[in-house]
Amino acid sequence: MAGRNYSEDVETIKNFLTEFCSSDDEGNKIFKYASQLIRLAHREQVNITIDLDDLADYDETLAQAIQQNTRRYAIMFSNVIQELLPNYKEREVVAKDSLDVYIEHRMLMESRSRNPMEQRDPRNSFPPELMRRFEVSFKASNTTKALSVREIKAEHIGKLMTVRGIVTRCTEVKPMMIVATYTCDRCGAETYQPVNSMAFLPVTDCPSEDCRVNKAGGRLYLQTRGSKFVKFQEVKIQEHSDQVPVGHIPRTLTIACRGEQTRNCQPGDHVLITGVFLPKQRHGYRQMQSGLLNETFMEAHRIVALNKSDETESLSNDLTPEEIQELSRDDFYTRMASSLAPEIYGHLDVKKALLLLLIGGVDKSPDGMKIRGNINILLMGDPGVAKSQLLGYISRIATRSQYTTGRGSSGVGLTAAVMKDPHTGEMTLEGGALVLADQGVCCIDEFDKMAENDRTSIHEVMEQQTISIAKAGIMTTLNARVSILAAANPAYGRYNTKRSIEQNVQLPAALLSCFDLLWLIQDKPDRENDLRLAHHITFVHSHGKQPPSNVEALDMNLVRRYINLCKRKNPTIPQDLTEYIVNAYVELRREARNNRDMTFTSARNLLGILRLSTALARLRLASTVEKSDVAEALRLLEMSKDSLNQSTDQRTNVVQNISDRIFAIIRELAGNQKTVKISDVMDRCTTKGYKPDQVDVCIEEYEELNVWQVNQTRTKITFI
Amino acid sequence: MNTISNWTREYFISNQESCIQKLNDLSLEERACLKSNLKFKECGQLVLVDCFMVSDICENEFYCEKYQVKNDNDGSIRIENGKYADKLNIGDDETCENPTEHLAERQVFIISKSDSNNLWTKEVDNHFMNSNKRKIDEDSEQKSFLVKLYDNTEVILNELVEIIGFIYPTPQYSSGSIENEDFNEDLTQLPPYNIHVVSLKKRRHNNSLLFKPISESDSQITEDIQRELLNLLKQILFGDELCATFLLCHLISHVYSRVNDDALGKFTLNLICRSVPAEILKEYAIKLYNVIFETLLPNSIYIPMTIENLNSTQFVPKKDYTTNRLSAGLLQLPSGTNILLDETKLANGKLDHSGCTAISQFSELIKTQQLSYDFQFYKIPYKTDNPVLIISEGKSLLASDFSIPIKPNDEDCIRLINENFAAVMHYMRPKLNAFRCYLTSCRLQSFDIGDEETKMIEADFVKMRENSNFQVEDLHKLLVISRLIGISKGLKFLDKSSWEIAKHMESERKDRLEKRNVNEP
Repeated sequence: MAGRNYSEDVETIKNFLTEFCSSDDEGNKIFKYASQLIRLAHREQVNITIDLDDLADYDETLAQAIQQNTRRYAIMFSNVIQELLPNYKEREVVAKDSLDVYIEHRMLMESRSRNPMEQRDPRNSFPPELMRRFEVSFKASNTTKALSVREIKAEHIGKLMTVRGIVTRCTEVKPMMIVATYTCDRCGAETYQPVNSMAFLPVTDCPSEDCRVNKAGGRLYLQTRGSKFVKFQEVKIQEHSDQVPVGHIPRTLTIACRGEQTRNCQPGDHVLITGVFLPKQRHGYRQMQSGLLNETFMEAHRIVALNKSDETESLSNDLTPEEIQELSRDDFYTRMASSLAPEIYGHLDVKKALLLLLIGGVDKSPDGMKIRGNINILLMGDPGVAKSQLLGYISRIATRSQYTTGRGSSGVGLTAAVMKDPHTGEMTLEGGALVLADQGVCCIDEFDKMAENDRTSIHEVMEQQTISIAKAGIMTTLNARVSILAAANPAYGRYNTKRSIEQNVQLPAALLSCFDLLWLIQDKPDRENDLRLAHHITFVHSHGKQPPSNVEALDMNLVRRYINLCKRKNPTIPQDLTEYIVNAYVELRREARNNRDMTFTSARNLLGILRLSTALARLRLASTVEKSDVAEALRLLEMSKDSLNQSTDQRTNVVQNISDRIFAIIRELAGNQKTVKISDVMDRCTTKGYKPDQVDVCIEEYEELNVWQVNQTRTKITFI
Repeated sequence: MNTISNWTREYFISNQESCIQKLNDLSLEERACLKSNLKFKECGQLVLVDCFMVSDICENEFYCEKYQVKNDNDGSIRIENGKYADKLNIGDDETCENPTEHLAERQVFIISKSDSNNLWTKEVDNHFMNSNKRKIDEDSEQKSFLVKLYDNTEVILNELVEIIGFIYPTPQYSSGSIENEDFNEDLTQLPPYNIHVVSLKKRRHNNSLLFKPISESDSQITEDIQRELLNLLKQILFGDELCATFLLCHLISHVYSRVNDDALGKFTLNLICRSVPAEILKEYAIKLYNVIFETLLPNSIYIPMTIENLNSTQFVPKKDYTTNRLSAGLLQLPSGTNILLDETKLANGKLDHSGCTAISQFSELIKTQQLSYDFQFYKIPYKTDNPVLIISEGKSLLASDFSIPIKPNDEDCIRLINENFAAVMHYMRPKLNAFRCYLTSCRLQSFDIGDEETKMIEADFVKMRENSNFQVEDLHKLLVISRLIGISKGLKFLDKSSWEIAKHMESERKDRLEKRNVNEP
């Protein structure tokens, strides 16, 4: 950058500070910086932050110059503000601390003793750092990309940067000397020494006119009250795990915080820090020692702790624009679901349900009653279907997960016991799994094989999200906020749709009712499907990557990170949706009674619908649940019931008779009335898993049969 | 200046191109010379460090690539190069003019000798170096070095590297804190010597037998050696041929690719020793380890799974923020290190929290061939390639890819097991190096599946799905076994016979497991 004219810059800064304004909603002008100057002048505010976006509006090249050479401009701003402040002083200020009193005294003394002919500011003889009672910092432009620690290079030295990371350590806040003030034991004159680095060599000989002329050899003594200190704290940040390339160790950066920038973060905080990247200053012997090495640090200008509510800032920081675009493509719900275990063909609804399990619903605690948000799913199916594979995949993709089999997961506690089976010599591990999976997913294979006493623990975990231990004299309750994904084999070799679920998997109804969704996976031997599977696996083994037909699948890591992002959302259910949900639930109950359903329909289903709907809203990164979420939740519930109620041979009929079934629903909906609203029909049918176009087909078919008439605007159906 | 071991930093800088060329083509003698320099650690000497593991990566450093030195007396100025050195090259009456200009970045990391290195790798090494008369006692041998790298080669944790560079005592560092004492970082943790790298090579294994120019490269893997080895393994596995084949596959297995977090090629083997009498079982695993692992494999570790061990050992590295270093865990191992987990040592008892964590760390290793290192605020997974063999009395409490009960051939095999161990050891002695080369070479062998064989496998899979409970996992396993069988015979492509052997092995293994279950009360 060509040399800038600094005196022009000073003028620009002066004008910017006094003139910059914006209009509020009522059209009043707000002088953003001038109003702050007033507060600074009255010692009501300490830090003034200059937003480079504001400055860029005013003078873009100056904003760029500041970004490139921040330290110099920070001093320039300080000097300008110092100069401007007396103009903004509207009343006398009461001294706030001893340094204020000290400065006041010195200025009084100076004004008494100075030559009245001399037109000069009384503060000039004092170092500006001593008199300044405010701090200047910069806020980087909003378009500045936050870097990771390893992206900071030597060329960034001296420039204003923004880094993102996690705080690992903070020192105590300590006073740091900015100006050392000495008095002479002979002449009494005061000497000031500005300190710019971490260490300084105290002055001992008095440099005053008196002492020098008289060769009095006056000694200087450091005067604590007259010296100026600022708060100083060192912070270490470390790259966040997603910023670390595979196989590397996270890098760290030391941050120096002064004054108002201290005490802004704690270890464990995710932070965005704007600051100047600087080499450490060394002198004399230290320079010799450090030799060729230049250690660096960042001087903080602005520290933002990214708490969980700050999603906009974190979304753009957690995912790259390309990734966001990738995710925002059409129908990403389906795409994301089919990216789970891509080698397993089909089973899209099961995968959708598993995706929702990974995201989880929102925990609620109305009136102290705790309602879990975790979604529990039980997969049932004949041996040989892809159950275990799905479980294995979910346990790999979930950030905190445990995989266990029903036989091994006995007796649950924080301390686990190793027991030897006297008959088989097998060692078994008692418990541990559920507690280790806290806030994660616990995948339990062979759920039906679980011993009686383990069911009690699992039941407690599923409903209360806690584990009670009464062992060796210890009575305690531990958190186990886990989602359970279980797989069970049918008791009689094959699943018998004529019997109830309890009979099929031989598990008590109370335990089964804790699952939000029960799914029967049927996977009849299918030559074509098997061939595709075999091809997929051999391809993977000989080429070391997914076959090209599966490139549609999203990267596992991206899915994982997106799910983590979703979990930060806590969507709520708006009041006007409750009626819809309640009606849908009542309908479910009624139907279950009428159809001699083999599945359960209980009050727990209602909670399940809420959990699934909130998970769906989270998936959209939305903050409220929409009707479509509820409809999809109901559809999934319906599909899971369908999977249990229909044997395979019936299923083929169903496909042919979709229209008939929809007709039955509409008939039922109409009851005694002659007309039905099509919007109601749509609602009812979609909750039962039918697509709008199927409903349209049905309406048309029956219209042709003259069963009903549809009005001109196609909003109502009237039975003939 | 022509002997490489006497090169200085200045000589290297002024003849960089020819020097690098020379370093790429070192004779065994020259390597030995550079290696022996390491024992004296004279400041500024060129040294060679062989097969150390990258055990921790530090922050990059900014150093002065070139600087001006001004003589205080006559004001004359000279330019100095700042590469390959820790300190400014200035005299007492000189000052450095521009210590913060021309900054360049260099990578800094720590390399260590892994404890998993088996003794023989070193003996083989010394054998090459016997031209060197000066003997230095073992104790003075340095276990780790701080390394400074000037190019952009990506260095990854736990890689094996060979490094040539200039050695200096590590300079005193400030703590990375501006105000030194505040973070109180204990800097004695840094290795006492650092090496400024002029050449870095990545190594896939630590078997120095394979470093020498291989003349008859293909003859490393032959069916003869395979047969011999199988026979020996059979002797110490109570005459069980099936187990011997599985063990051989296990010994040469490695993760050959990763697809969507699936580690292909991992081969966790669980040998179930229910038929072995308790008094023999007590010492069996360690004997097997001594005779096979320690003698034939370049890197291996033995972990007795006792309750105490599980509760008190740190298995996975953890970041220590007071030293800013990664504190080592037992399972921080170079790729290709075989692990033997001795579950026969486990007795009834209580695992505390760290014991539970240890168990879940083992299962993570076994299930995904990765380990999540603990950075306190989060965990970061690191890929591993460490085949795990579990020897247990019953089926192991850790899930494994292949579990198989040992079926002793007859009573004699059990009774004479100790004699068999001794005999095997005796028999192997003259052929040790051939076996060692064979096992390491198998891992380096590339292997493909032809189109015809692919079709055959696909058709087989469909058939197997039709009449039995054959799962996708099983197909993965068959592909892994048939590949290893093919490789062990010296093949480069899958053939039908290897595929059939694999199928046979798996069905035999499943039969045994089922029979065992039926026999259970």
